[in-house]
Amino acid sequence: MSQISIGQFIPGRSILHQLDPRAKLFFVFSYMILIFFANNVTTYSMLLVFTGLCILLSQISLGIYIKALKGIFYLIIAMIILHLLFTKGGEILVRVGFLTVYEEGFRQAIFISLRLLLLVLMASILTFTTSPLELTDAFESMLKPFVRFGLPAHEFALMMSMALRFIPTLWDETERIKKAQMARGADFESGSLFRRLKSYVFILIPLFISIFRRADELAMAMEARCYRGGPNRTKLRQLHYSSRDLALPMILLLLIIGIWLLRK
Amino acid sequence: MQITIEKLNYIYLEGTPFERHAIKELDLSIPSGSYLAILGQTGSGKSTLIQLIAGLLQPTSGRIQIGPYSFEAGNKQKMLARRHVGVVFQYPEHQLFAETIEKDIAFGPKNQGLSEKEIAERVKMAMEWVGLPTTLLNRSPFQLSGGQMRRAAIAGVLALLPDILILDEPTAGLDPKGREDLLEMIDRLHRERQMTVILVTHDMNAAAKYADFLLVLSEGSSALFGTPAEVFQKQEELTHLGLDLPDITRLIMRINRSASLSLPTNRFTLDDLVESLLARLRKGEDL
Amino acid sequence: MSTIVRLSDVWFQYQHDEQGANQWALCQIDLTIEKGEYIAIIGPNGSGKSTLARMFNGLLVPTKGTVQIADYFTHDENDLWEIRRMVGMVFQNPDNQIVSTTVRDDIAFGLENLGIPRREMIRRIDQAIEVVGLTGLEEQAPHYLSGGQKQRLCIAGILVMQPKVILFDEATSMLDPQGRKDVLQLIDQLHRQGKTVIHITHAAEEAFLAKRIIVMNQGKIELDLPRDELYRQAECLQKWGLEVPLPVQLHRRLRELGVPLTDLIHSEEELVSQLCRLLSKN
Repeated sequence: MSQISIGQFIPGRSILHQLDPRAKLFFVFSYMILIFFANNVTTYSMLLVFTGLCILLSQISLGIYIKALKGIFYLIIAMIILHLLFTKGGEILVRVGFLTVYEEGFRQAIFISLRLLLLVLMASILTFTTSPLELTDAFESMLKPFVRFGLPAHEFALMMSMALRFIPTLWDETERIKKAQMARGADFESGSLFRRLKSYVFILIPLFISIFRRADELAMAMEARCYRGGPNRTKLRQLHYSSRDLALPMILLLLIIGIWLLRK
Repeated sequence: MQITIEKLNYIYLEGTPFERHAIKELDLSIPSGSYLAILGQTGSGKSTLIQLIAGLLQPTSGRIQIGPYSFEAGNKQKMLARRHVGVVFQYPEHQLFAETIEKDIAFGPKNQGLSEKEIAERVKMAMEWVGLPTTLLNRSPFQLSGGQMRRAAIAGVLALLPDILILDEPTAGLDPKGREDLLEMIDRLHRERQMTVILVTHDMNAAAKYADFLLVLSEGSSALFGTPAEVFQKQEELTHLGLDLPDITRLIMRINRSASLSLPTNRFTLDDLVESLLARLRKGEDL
Repeated sequence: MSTIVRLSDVWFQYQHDEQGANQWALCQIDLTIEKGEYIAIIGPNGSGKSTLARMFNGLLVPTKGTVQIADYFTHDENDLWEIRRMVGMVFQNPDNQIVSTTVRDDIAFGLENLGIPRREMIRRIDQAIEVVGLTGLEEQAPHYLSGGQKQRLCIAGILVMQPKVILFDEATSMLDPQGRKDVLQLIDQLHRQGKTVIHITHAAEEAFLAKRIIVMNQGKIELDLPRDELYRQAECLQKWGLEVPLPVQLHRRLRELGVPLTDLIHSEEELVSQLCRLLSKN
């Protein structure tokens, strides 16, 4: 729980925190598609500068973003190596023994890793500045048009929010069970990988039983509080677009035009 | 086994914003074969302390000595000490996992590497101690009643034949009869098998009735330590720490206050109270 | 006073009872509860008290007999939601009744289900937060609350639905002493504000805080008495594995030894004052 990773919300009062989550979700989604259209130094620099600006606006320290990037560090390295070695085309830059690095390979290595970097940074900006609850609400409202085709938007959202609610509870419970089995001599720390994995069965079974028991009790408590599904419900949390949120589609439009004009 | 704790400190998540100093400079000595009750409000460090004693957490600094084993920050003897300490966590029935009661109770002895025969003996013995009939051996633990499930789970710890038995709120959620039966059972093990018992509880009546020593924790430090008679004299300190007195002590104090008497408050049975009241009443008659 | 709960000849059997399919979890329960009463239902584990609790809001429906809440019947599907609004229920494990990730959102859950307009919701939530004493924790995640605070949050979630009856199903049994005290105090406060309160417990000391006490055993109502009445004969609680209040035990012992106390006492205070009189006479 002490590690900060992709997906963690960091409370704050920045302009990005205050934007409507639906507008943010829509923007980030479109922006991620847009990233794939960048194909030269100018367009990539434009997106990099823009992402940097967003990071600045989020008022969250750069260190936290770097921590989030750690997760994809090896992926980026792997991509770079693969492209350097196997992508052919253009002039030969370096030749060492049987290894040849082509100009095109170098280009691709840089661009692909930049693309990955941009994707993860933007996703992090979204989750850092938007509480899970807001994201859930945004998802629900964006899925709403599909309700008429039988998509259970409300149920999805409720499931997401309950999962969020129970993650810390179940985390504690897992720790407790683990300690209890350790006290009875179960070994999760040494022995072969297989043995250690096998030990986890002694945690997982009680954990599952507990999850089912909790689900049972929760269902009853919800029923006792008159829960009977989506229709006719009102909502405490309401999302309001403000004039500020209009900025997002405008910016998006500018970026699209920019990419369209500047790409090769 | 004697337990000695010196200058023990434990800090959760040191160096993060969630850092919490859970145990502060604690010194404690528990003689072999005694019964210690640990009291204190939620968050006072009780469960951290028992996990440290059980070798499930590594001290940040300080030393814990359990019999011949000593562990302090950094060394590995806690694994050896762990064999001598049995821990019954809160709601232990939530840790049951095997398909039969027999297999569940056998889990600990099996991890200790005992032979089949020894394991079978341990299982039988543990079930007898907790009062579960051996006819239940092949039943699923999940078919038992709540009280029986708790006993089965405790049997799983007793089968380790620990010298030191630690119990964290073992009676939580049981009805009065179940509570008394369980506490009596623990007391019997303590007396008959000379097991050192450490009971974490909110139940002052149980602490007064069974324990030899009380440790009152407050914010990770020892606030009071002594026999029940000593600790429950200190009504003001206890109230200040947000703790109650045993029912009987409260009743005696009330009588004392109303009748401006000084009946002794260092005894905790109804018999003692009846006796001292009678002595008072008779004294009057004789005069 | 008007009747708010009426159980007539209620019998109940769980369908998938493993041991002895013929066992009745509840048998022949006749019970009426008036508006504004403070009732405790006490009994050992497995006495049927939690099953009985689930009858009051239609979470379980009698196998035989009827449960009537005001003018509604639990066996009528159409009445069920009105009944659940009128009879709020607080369960044993606080963790397993909290749905949302903040205090405020969780309190809103019942109101959202009822389709209450947002403005009204906010008014009621603010009020309930104040009543249960969670002011300042509105945006807190439930995970960071203590057991007692979680249980008070659950009570707030019930209160906003403006129920007539509030059921506490062993709601204090998983709490530490401080949390228990807070919840008991809140129960008393709600009773004084005119709510009908039913507190299910196996702790005699908690039960004696109520005005009327129902003792259950093996699915039957064994006793149904005003508090003082039961206190006098509290010795009998032993029969069902329940605690006898200490003053009652002391009273009996002293009487047996010939100390001239009155036949019966109905409170600790009475015993103490009688003892005082005797002691000062000497």
